[in-house]
Amino acid sequence: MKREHELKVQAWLDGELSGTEACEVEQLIANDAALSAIAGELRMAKGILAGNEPEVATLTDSREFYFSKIAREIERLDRQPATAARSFWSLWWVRVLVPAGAAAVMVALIALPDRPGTSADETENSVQESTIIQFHSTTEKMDVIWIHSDVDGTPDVTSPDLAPKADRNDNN
Amino acid sequence: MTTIDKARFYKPALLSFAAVWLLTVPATSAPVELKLQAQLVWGTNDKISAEAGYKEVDASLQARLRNVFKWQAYYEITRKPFSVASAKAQSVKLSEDCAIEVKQLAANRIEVKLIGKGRPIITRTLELRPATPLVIGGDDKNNTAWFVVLTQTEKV
Repeated sequence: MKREHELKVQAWLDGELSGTEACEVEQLIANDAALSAIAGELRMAKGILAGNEPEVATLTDSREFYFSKIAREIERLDRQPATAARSFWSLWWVRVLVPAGAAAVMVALIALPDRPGTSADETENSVQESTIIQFHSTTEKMDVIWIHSDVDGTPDVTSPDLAPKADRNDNN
Repeated sequence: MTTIDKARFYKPALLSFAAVWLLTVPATSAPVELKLQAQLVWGTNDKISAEAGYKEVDASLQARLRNVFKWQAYYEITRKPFSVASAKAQSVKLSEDCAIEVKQLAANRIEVKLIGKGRPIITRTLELRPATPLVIGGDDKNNTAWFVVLTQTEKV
């Protein structure tokens, strides 16, 4: 099967051949099983394409009018947010509450007393940092500061009262 | 700026300041007096006879301390209820050498200073909550420990 015959079959299906040429191709297809198969496939493909061709929208308006409508719609959408913003700020209560709210937040942050969780607890040590352990026991709900007593110069917090009375008796 | 424009500008501004004043003034009013309690506690694993005269801390605090620290028995040496108001520091002497100084900074925010033999050892600023005591502790001789337990006794 020649490439030329295949092209002729395609042209025949598309109705591009003259009467004589069409007869010749029909004879070729009748005598050649391969060409007949190709013709069948091409016919089927043509049918599928024709049946599923997307519908092309037809413009009811002129081209210029159609595109001018699109341009007007784009301009309208561009103007819309600005108009909405103006109408929002034109509300009297918005003009009052927005600055008042902002000022209240600023004043609250500066002037209000500390709220739980808004500021971290702070510790200043007169002894070395490494000698103090701080933690919060979540299970027992207590804040703990533990001071190691093995540092030179650390004043003794305890008093003789803390020693067991039995010990004190022993010492006496 | 025309008169109408000025009015349109100043009216909302004045109303804004009024709103801010109303919102903030009640909240910044003087903090309420804080009722607190300081305890000097001694922790030990030794058996202390009843004759020694030491009083164990209440069962709840005993259990909490026991769950956090290694000592099995906790005895109350001193208990001092006191109150703090405004920013005036309140000094509480717990023993011959141990004292604390508490200052109210805000509603229930305080500054606690631990003083040992007249010298400040540690200063802690914290938010005190009724159910959450502050426990400051340290090692003591003979494998014992001392604790200063600061508790808020009444809710603000």
